Amino acid sequence: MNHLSQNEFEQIVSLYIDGELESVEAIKFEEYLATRPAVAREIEILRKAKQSLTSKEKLPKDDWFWLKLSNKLEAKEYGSRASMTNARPAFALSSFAAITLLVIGVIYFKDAPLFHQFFLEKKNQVENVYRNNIMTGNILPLFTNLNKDDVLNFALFGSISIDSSKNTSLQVKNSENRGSQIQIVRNDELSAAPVTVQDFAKEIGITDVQRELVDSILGSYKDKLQASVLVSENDEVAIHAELVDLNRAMVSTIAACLEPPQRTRFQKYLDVRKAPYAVVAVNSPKVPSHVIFDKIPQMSQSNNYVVISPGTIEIAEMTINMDSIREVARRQEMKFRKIITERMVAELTERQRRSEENQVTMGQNRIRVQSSSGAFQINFEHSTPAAFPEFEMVDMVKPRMPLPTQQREMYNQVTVIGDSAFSFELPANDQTVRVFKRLPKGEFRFEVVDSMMHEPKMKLLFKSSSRKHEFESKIREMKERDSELIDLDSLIRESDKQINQDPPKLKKPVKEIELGIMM
Amino acid sequence: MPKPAVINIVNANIPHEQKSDDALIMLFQSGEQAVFRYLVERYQEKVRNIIYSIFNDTDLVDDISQEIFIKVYQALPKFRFESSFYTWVYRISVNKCRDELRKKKVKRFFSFHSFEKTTNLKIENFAVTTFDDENILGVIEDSLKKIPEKFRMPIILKDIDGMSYDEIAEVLDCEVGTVKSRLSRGRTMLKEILMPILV
Repeated sequence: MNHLSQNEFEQIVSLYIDGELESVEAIKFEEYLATRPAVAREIEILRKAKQSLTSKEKLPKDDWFWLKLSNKLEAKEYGSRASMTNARPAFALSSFAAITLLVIGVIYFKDAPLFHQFFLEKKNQVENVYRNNIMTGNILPLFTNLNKDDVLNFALFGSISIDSSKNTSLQVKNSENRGSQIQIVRNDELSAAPVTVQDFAKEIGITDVQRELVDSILGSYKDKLQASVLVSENDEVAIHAELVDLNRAMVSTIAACLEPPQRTRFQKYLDVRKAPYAVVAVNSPKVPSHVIFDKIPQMSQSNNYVVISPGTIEIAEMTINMDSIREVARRQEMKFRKIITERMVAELTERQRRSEENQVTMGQNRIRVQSSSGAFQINFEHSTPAAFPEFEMVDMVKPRMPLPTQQREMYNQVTVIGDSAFSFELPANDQTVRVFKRLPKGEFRFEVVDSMMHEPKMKLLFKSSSRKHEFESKIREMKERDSELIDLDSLIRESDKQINQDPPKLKKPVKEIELGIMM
Repeated sequence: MPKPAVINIVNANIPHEQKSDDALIMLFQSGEQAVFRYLVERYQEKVRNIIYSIFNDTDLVDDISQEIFIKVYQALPKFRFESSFYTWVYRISVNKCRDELRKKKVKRFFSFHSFEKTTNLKIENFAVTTFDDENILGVIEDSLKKIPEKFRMPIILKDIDGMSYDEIAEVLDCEVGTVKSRLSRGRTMLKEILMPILV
């Protein structure tokens, strides 16, 4: 080694560090190093340096890279096309042309495509973004590539698949007195099997013209649905505050374009599939198509979005440009959507750990976000009945009230009144309202016992005269069973048979017994 | 030596994701510009990381990497298959980074503030440290920045990006011997900076 020049020696060191020396040479070099501890130390430093650089952590993958690049490329292409068009004059006239173009540009700058593009971009930026530094970066619709079957399934069942391979869906649940929820759930938790527009049309028996109308309705709502859930580059999700009512409006619109007999079949169709809504205005006349298409665009008055990030929840007013949404949706591929969805769901389901702020108010509505591993839920605890108040067709359907299926132990004070009537107390909640709605008018009456109590109660007064003996035996049975559970549904079923509706004559209570009511 | 032009039949049955770079480029050159996406997705991380290796600044990565791919997009119709797409993209990336470095150098020259910042950094980072120090990578990267770009680039391509001597030669458009000598020279400079710091 001693006969080597400084440069040659340095090259051998470099090759040795890279492991590029022949094995014989490497052994010789190591033997040399064994006798030169100072040189060996220098080489050790270089080796460590190489090792550190080699193990340098890579940047995290940027899932949005292509989208950002394609936006830039498009803007650049458009710009270069525009400038090419303007810069074609012959070389000899280039100076003159440049001045002329400048003058023309100043006078007619509004017409120049470049300026147009510039203003369009700025306009979109202003429109799409977003007070308080929320929804920053690129924004994409969560639902793209929706077909009519997807939209119909959302209309009928309030659920739409986010990621079929991961079995996750977004589901909307609406109840007139319990508020609404938007949940991300696993597909196996969904009760309804998906339907197709073709099968729907066949079963309802709609004409070809109506089929076209239904297709157009679904097409119109597809845009609304796409603009209702947006995700941002920074793992935020923006959900239109009216998404919870959108499917009701969709079912109403479909019902509105049907003839009364078709509507009856539609109601049956919904009933069989346990859809969350039922058609109530079965006999209303068919709404003309031009009225329907006039109403749909006017339906929503609000631009409020609930914006949820892994750490916060906020209300933001955003105007979404549907054309840009469509354009972005066109470019977005399933693979990309899957990545975003997986990341967004993961981030949002982790939010509980990091976030203390889990609720926000919007008008009179309180909106809460709850999350657990693998799922999250947004509750709209609204007191107002439904969105789209100006959209008259929305009254064509109502949320279904499923029969109680779960047994709950609710012991209530039953008061027997004389020999033909009794009353008992129920908590004043939605189940009581449900019971009340099912009871024949005139036979039962509800009274609020004390609305100021922590848990308000209602008193159900029951009067029977025409089938006095049956109810006497029921009361006897109750007395004998004493504290055993009694099936309120069987009482209701019996009461359904009642025809006579004599007003109850209440007497003083004679005896009180404890009852359990199965609900 | 320039490679012969690739004459290949693009198999339409193979999904774009699985097509070779050359097949995708041929499709691009025949007017199917949408396939550019697959090329970008294939190399975006490599390009982003080489920029990060050179500047060590995540804020710059986005802008520079996008500009690189715009350049690639514009130049792709003229790509002659004389080198692999991979090294060609790397060459564009390295050249772009060199331009940016030059711009930064000029900016620094005129900016007293940045000079002041650099001086502080120097004092802070040049405290004596050991190999066990978890900031060792930072120290090495700071030292690397002090080496002239001509000698620094081969070290980055070799040690951080794991390229072979031949690939570095192709990217830097020079002979393999030049790569070896620049590497050894650069490493000697690095060693001279690191020796007093690392014990």
